[in-house]
Amino acid sequence: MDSKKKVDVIYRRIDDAFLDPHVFRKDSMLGVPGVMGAYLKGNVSIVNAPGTGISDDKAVCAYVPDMIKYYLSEEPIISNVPTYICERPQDLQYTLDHIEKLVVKPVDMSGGYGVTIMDTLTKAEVEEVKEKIKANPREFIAQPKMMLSTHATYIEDENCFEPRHIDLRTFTLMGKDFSYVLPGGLSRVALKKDSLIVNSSQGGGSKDTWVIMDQSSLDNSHAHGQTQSQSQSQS
Amino acid sequence: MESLLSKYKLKPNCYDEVFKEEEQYRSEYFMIDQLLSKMDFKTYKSLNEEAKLSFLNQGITYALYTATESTETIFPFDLFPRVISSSDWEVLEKGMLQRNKALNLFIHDVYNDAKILKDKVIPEALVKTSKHYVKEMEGFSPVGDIYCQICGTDLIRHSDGNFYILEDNLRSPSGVSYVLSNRVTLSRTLPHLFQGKLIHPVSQYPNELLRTLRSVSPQQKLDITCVLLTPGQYNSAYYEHSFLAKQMGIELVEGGDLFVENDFVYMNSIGLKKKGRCYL
Repeated sequence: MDSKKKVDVIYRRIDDAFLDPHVFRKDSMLGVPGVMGAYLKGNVSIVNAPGTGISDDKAVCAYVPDMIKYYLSEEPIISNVPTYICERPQDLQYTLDHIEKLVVKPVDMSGGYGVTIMDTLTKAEVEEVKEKIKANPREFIAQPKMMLSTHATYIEDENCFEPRHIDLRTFTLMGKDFSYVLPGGLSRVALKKDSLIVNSSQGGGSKDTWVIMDQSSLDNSHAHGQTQSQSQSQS
Repeated sequence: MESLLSKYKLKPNCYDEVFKEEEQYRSEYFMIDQLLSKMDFKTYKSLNEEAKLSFLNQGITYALYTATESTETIFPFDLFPRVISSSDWEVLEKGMLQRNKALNLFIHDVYNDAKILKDKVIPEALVKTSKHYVKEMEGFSPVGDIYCQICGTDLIRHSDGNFYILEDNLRSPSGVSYVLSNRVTLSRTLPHLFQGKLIHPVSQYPNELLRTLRSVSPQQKLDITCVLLTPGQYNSAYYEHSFLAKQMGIELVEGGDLFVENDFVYMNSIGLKKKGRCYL
């Protein structure tokens, strides 16, 4: 076996900042020096592409319905949770005026970190958050407190079923000339009673998530013989 | 016999996924009802323990970080599955594809012609001040103009019964390994639950992911080499990285296993073999 092998595609699970010390953080020990140069010459693919994080920004995310209209001339099939972008003066004013009813989030954190549900705070804490937003409005968005749906969940300590709030993380793939959505996804459960924070990093759990086949996909799977046999092999 | 859910109390002002009202299952849950109505708490509890053991035996643990310490724990799992009706899923699937398409066009536009910014649909400053804006990407087009090959979008169902998008994760969305292992665990623990049930399988995901990776290779050829680059075993999602690499049959590498020569990327196969991370 050769001691070195050319790599065509890198599915990276490290952030841009650590990818290449020649371009991003110079102190990164996790990345590959020169990989961005190879990428920009078209000699290797990096998945997802560097710089996709601009859409991760929660303030930018709020504009996805506008993107759908702009690029596809379609109406969004699924709405966003209404979002107040604190950088916009009128949104900032609304946020400050109605803060007790809102959930405040930093624009660039994931995993439920930094999410503040305002009606759980004391008056002094609320004032503190307001000051933080005013000092740095670009860094925050606010959303109405959405009541996540509940699902019967086994509570071990009580040996009974109780409603717990859940969400759904879907996984969508986009390749050259095809795309795919994983049927279902990860249903995350906020195990603490009444908690709305489902993230695993905050102690959430998960459920197997089933998507029922309809008659047409059933006919389809008979035709191809594959989906059907796969679902049978689960048993 | 007292059924498992006879004392279940709905939470006021919330959409309950399972029940329309007290003791009235939604139609997509009829088959779950059939199974659970025959089960007592003792059986359910012991099955739940079995499931937990199955996760432990599969080595599925999660590093939980607090301010002061980190611990490896099992990702809490509950045997009672969530069921999505085919009509709900049809809308969700279309919605996700539409959204991903628009996001991808947006990223390409921002780094090339920036039309959407010039037309002031989205404020330029908002995009350009994002911490994740990468100047080096300006004027560059990746293979197939695809930027977000893998997107994890979080949705919630509000009390009005509709799904809403909470956020998109386009950097390193994690969690898919739990989708696959949850299904394996549930089908091992409650095999008869799946008998004759027409549920969309999830086990093809690693193949679809590999197909996605290969489709964006700079060269289309027979022996495309894909690798999964992980920050290493101290990352909270390391289990998922090794799981996906193994499922796809590709190398799991760390930065030190790769090097660049004349603007091409290579992996040091001998080094990988020594570390026991070489599957080839």
